[in-house]
Amino acid sequence: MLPKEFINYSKKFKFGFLVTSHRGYPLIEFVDFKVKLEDITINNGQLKEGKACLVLANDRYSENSIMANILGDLIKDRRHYTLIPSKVFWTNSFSMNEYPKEIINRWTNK
Amino acid sequence: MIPKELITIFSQLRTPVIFATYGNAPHATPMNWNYDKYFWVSAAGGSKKVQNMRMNKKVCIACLEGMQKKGRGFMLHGTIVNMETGLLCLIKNIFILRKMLSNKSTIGISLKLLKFALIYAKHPSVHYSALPWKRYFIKIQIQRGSYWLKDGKKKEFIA
Repeated sequence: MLPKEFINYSKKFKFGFLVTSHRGYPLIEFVDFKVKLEDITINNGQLKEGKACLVLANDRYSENSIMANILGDLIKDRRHYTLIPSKVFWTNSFSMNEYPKEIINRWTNK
Repeated sequence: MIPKELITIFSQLRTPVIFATYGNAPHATPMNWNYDKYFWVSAAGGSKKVQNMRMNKKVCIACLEGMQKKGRGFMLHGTIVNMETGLLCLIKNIFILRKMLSNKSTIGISLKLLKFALIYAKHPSVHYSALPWKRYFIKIQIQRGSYWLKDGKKKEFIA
């Protein structure tokens, strides 16, 4: 199950980068996706089933960067693929002058 | 040979790359980068990608201008020729790090970042989490790939 907080977060991104492997090389595909609580539907691409990682990112680095990484198993399901997530993390942007409270809360709660 | 057109794209794009590795499982994140005969990235020490790169030297790098599907971009396959970490390595590669930060992102080297690095070094919730002297400098030999200009026409090459 994916956290509800993450489902809202994922709406910030229009497409994702899906990583699988081919002959020992990691392989990146640009994919359209739809995040649900149980899984993620991948709508395009000719992909290889197995372990896969979906990356969502904006065009910034450092303090303005937001990104998510969802690791899971990719399964072919008729015309589309389904990513069954096993691990997810996501990041937030921050100000250069203060610690973002959201991050501190998540950190101290663990 | 890397096509001249692609080298021009390298010099003009300021968008982070998606840097993918594969060890026991795939891993990828946006990364700051630089091209200077070799392709350079700098990864946080102890991160999943550093673990993967120790197991498998093969990497895949993708970039889309402004993270827009219709933008210019490239997709590269390459092999790591060198990866180093530590204070001496930081000093040796400080100009490469400076170029990565000043040419490919909106932020330069700022001592203010240290305040965050100290607290975020052990936590991945902000995508700038490594203490500078714990960063790995990774030098990549590009082997093959593809790139496309604004017209969307894809061109392939073998280096």
